[in-house]
Amino acid sequence: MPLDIINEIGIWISAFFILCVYSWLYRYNRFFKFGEHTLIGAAAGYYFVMGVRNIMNISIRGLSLGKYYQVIPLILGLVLYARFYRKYSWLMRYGTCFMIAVSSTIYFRALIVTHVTQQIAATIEKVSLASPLLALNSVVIVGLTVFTMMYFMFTNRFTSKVQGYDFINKIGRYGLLTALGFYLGITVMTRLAFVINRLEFLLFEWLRLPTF
Amino acid sequence: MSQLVRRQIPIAIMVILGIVLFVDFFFKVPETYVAITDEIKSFNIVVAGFALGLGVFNILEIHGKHISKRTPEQWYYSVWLIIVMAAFIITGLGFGIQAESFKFLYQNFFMPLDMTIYSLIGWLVIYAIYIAFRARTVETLFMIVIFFFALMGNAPVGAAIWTGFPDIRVWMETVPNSAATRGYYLAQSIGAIAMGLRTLVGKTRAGLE
Amino acid sequence: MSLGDKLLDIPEFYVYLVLLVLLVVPLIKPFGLPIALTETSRKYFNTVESLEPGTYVWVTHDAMSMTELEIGLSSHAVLKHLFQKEGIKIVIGCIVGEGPMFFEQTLKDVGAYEKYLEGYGTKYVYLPFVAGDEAAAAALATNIEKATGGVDYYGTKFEDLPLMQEVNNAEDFEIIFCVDEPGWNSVIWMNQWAVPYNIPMYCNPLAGVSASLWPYIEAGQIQSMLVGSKGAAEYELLMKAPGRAVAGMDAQSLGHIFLLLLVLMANIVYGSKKVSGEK
Repeated sequence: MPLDIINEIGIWISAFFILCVYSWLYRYNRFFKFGEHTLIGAAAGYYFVMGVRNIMNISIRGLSLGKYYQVIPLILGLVLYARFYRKYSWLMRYGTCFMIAVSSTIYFRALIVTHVTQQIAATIEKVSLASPLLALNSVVIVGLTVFTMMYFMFTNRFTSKVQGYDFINKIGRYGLLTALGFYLGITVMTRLAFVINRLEFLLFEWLRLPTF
Repeated sequence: MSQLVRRQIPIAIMVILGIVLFVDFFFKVPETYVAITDEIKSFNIVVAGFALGLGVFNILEIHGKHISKRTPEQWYYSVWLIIVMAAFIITGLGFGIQAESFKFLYQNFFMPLDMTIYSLIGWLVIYAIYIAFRARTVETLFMIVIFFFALMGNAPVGAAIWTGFPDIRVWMETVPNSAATRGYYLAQSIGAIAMGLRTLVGKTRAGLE
Repeated sequence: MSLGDKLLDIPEFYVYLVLLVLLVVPLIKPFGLPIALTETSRKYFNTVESLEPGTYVWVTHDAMSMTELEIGLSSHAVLKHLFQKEGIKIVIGCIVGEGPMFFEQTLKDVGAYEKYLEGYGTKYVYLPFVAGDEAAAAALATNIEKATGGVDYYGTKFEDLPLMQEVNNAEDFEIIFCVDEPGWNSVIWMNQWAVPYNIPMYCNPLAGVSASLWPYIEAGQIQSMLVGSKGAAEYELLMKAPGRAVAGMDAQSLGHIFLLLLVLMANIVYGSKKVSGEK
């Protein structure tokens, strides 16, 4: 089958699925449910294939090259599937504990440097009294950083016993509102970009409308 | 014996691996040690690969039940779901992910659906902001003011309406937003480090459920 | 129901309809509203422009369907620019499963695919998807061969790829470009590559996520970023090659104004009802 016809069929299939999903904006219906189930099946199948490729590249290839210790991750991975057999589901713990140990240690060991020490250093480095604006900025930066952190970390059981802590809580809360309000204002662009992309596909690739 | 094999040994594996990887990051260690930690990380990639496949078996379990029990208004959707899943697996493993058939399935079945479902958020966010952003309290009013300046500063046309909008946005993102976000990250990171230390000393229940 | 009540509770259908019209019209007939350039985009562009021949560049292309909707615009622009540079050596890595499905198509769209094929193995290598998120990034940082099993995306062994004899871990690279990231993946690459190995890093996050990346830029952990679709439009203008990103900016502007007017109108009506004592 010529490539043009295959591409055209693909565009029509894509447009059909886009309209199935957008029909939800009117109300939940069979077309949306059809699209939803297609996506779940596609995602599960796709990630299964990518997972198998990972296993083949590292462990199976390693075994073929004589690295027999590569059988260890194969066993640890296979025991994850023990969850489907109630009697042996405890075996799954070996796989999950391995993954949790590696992932969480790699994550939190980096946090100590990137999110704590370097961020504290950055806060202190920003302090500057070279001009009134810079001095104001310094006060805002240090104050908001410290008070927002305290607002998150300390519970009411502690803060209710400390006189004047309400002020710190209030500043921390306003700091959080600043970050959230700013995030919401900026994120509108992302959400609109999502919609514009789909409209561009429907208008210019499916309907082939000209631009002026 | 049962507790040893079902609980203590998995926890011991977690503690030993955690300490080994922790030391590797902060201390100068011999090359053999580095080689061992490299292998541990590559093992994790393989185990993560197995975890990616869990979804398929979960789906077969849940939707297989729908098909066998002929759940009304559901079983035929489940049949279609399994057909699509099988199509991806057969083409992906049989012909490879570079084959045109697999790319066709991905570009015309997975991609448009995934993208469009995420784009629904765009429509909903506009309506949700209109409904939710009412200045009922001083704090909401404050947030709306920040939202206004962030929106106009970021909008492409904002600078054309007033040249001050981008400047205010730049000040907001580099000073108050950056400071408050940093404070939040510091608190969150200290919590995450505490959870990580619990893993290192074996006091966590994660992975044992 | 009074007019005020109706304005406070406009049915979803009408809001979506007006938004649809406001987005479709400028896509079909662009107005050409001006786009101001920001410092962050200029810095990003200047860095790519000043890359010297022989520089080892680590590019991450963690594309997902969701992020491709917005970041696809900036990743197209940056990849086009990178592949225009002569003499630089690029290794592309990916820790998101969908990345491989977008990469080659992106190169074809920007007209860099021929150059990529010509220089493959000596100047460019595309690594396979590596599962495990942050643990995968950490594994790639210390030993790329072990993390990928010693093969590239096409199954070619590293022994047959001259470029992979020159690089094997993060220390061998001089700069990082996270050209297609959901945003939180930028933090992963920063945690495992940029900060531990002191490598300058540039990223293309979603506009919404960029707000939370500012502490890292202020701390010098990330050098600069292209913020969402506007960053992509600015980059296209800097490259003097306006494309899809620039074309979408008018629709973005109208969408923003529409939302702002809705919120202002709702708050004015709400405020006046509150002042007049109505419930």
